[in-house]
Amino acid sequence: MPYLIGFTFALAAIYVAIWLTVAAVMLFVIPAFLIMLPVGLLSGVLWGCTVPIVTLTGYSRWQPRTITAQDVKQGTSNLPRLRGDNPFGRDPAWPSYLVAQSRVDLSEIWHRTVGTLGKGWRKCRDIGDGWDNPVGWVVVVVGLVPVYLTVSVGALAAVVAILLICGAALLVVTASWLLVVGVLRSGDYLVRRLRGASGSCPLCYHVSSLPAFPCAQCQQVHRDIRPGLLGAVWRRCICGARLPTTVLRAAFQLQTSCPNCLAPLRSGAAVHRDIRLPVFGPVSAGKTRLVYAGLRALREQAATASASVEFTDEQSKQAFDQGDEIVRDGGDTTKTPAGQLPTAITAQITTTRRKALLHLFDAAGEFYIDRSDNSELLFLDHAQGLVFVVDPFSIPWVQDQLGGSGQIMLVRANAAVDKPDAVYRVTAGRLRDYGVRTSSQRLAIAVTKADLLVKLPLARNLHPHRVKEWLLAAEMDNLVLAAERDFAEVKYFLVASVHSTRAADPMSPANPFAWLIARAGLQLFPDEPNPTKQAEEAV
Amino acid sequence: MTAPGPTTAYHVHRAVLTVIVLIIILLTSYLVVRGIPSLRQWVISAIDAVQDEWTSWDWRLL
Repeated sequence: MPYLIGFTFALAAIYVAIWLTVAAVMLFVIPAFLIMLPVGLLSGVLWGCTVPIVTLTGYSRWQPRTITAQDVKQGTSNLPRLRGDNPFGRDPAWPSYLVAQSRVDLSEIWHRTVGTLGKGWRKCRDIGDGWDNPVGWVVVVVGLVPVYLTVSVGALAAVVAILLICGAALLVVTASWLLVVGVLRSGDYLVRRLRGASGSCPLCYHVSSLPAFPCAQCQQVHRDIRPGLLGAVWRRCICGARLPTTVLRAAFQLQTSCPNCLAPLRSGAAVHRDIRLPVFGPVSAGKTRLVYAGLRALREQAATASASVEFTDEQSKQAFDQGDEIVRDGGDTTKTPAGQLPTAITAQITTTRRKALLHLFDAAGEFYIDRSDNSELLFLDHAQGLVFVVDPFSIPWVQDQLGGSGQIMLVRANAAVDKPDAVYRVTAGRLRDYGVRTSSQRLAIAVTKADLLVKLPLARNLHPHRVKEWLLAAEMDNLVLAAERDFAEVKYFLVASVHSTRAADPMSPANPFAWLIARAGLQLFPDEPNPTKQAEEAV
Repeated sequence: MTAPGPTTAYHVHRAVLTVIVLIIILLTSYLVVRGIPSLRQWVISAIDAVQDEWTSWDWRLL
C-alpha cells in the first residue's frame, strides 16, 4: 500500500513537472526566442559590418599585413611568378594595390570575421564545460547556441555580401586599370618598335630594347620599367620616389643604364633609332682617321641638309675634338691601342623628322688579324652594317706596280702590312661562327688614302663610282666575290680622309657612313637613295 | 633600407572600399529601420499565437 501511494505521488510530481516545463516553454522560452533571434541576427549583421570597417581603416592590431616593395623584391608579395628565367626577380617597387594588397585586405576581413565568431563558439563550449552537471550543457544548447547561431549567420551573411560587392567593385577598377596598362604598354612598345629604338652599351656592347633605370634617389635598379603590376602610369620605388613607367618617359627623366653591366647608356638610348656601325680593317689601314674625318664630313654635310650631328656625351665629344684637330691639321692619328676594346663614339643625328644615335666602333687592327683575338668584339654581332677599310697600298698588285721606287710612297702612305682579303676572311669567319646573319647586313668597302692613290698612274682608271672594277683589276677578286657572297648588299667607296675633301665630294669620308645610315632607316641626305622609297615605288 | 609607409594609392583604394562598406551599412540600416515595425508586429503576433495556443489548451485532456 505505501508503495502504491508513493508511486501515485511520483506520477503526480512528474506530471506537474512536465506541465510546468511546457508552461515555461510556451509562456517564456518561445517568446524569448522570438525576440532574441531577430536581435541576434541584427547583432551579427552589425558585427559583420564592423569588421571590414575596422580592418580597412587599419585600427590597432587589426591592420592587415602590408605588401611592401621589400616583399616584391624578396618574392613574398603574392604576385604571379615572372615568366622565363629571370635571375634578378621583380624590381624594388611597390605593387599596385589592385594586384596584391586588395587580396590581402579582403582575405583579412574574412579571416578576422571567421576568427572572432570562432572565438565566440569556443566561449560557448567553455561555459558548458564550466558546469559540473549536464544542466550546464542543456542551458548552452537550448539557450546560447540558437542565439549565437543567428549571430554567426547574420555576421557571415553581412561579410559575404560586403566581400562580394567590394570584390565586384575591385574587379571593375582592375579592368579599367588593366586597360590603361595595356594601352600605355603597347603604345610605348609600338613607338619604340616603329622608331627602331634600342639601347646599346658603349662599353660591353650589349644591345637591349629594355634598358635598366636606376632610381634617381636611391640608385636601386629598375630592370623592367614598363607599365605592369608595379604601376600603370607611375611606380613607387622602394625608397618612396615616384618613377614614370614607360621607357619613353623614363628615358627623359632618369639615367638609362645597360641591363648587362649597368654602365650609363648614351642620352636618348632606347628612345631614338640606334645605328651601330663597326669599322674594321688591318693595322694602319686608316680606320681611325676615316671615323673622325667621316664624322667631321657628316657634320658639315648634315648642316647643308637641315640636319645636325651632335655629340651628347662628353667622352665622344672629347674623342671627336681630338680626332678632328688631327684631321684639320693634317697630322697622323694616334695608333689605336692594341688589346684594348674600343668605347663607342656616339653622335646624335637629327633630321627634320627623326633622330638617331650613331655608334661607331673602331677597334685596333690587331683584333682582326687573328681569329682568336676578335671573339670579344661583340659589337660586330649587333651591327646594322659594317665598314671594311681597304688600304690600297697594302694590295700586292699595287706594291708590284709601284716597283722598287714605290717604297717611298709606301712609307709616306704608312701602308698596312696585312692583306685586305686575309683580314676580311678572319672577320667574316668570326661573324659566321657567332651566328650573325651577314646575308641581311650591308657592307661598305672603303678604299682609303685616295688623296695619295689618285695621283699615281696605277689609279688612272680609279673613279669613285668604279671602285669595284678597280679592285678586280687589282687582283682583289677574292675579296669582292667573298664580300658579295656573304653580305646582302655591298657598296664600294673611294675615300680621302683629309681636311681638304669637301663635304659633297665623291671621295668624302662621310659617304660610307651616310649610305649605311640610310640603309639602317635614317635618310640623312636627300640625294641618298632611300631603300624604303624604292621598295614602295617598285610596288 | 627601411621602406616608407604604404603608398597614397593604398590609402585611396582602402578609403574607397571603406566608403563602399559604409554605403552598404547605411542601406542595410535604412532597410532595418524601415522593417522594424513589421518585424515588431510579426514578433508580437507570433508571441500572441503561442500564448493563445497555451490559453486555449483543452484542460480536459488532463
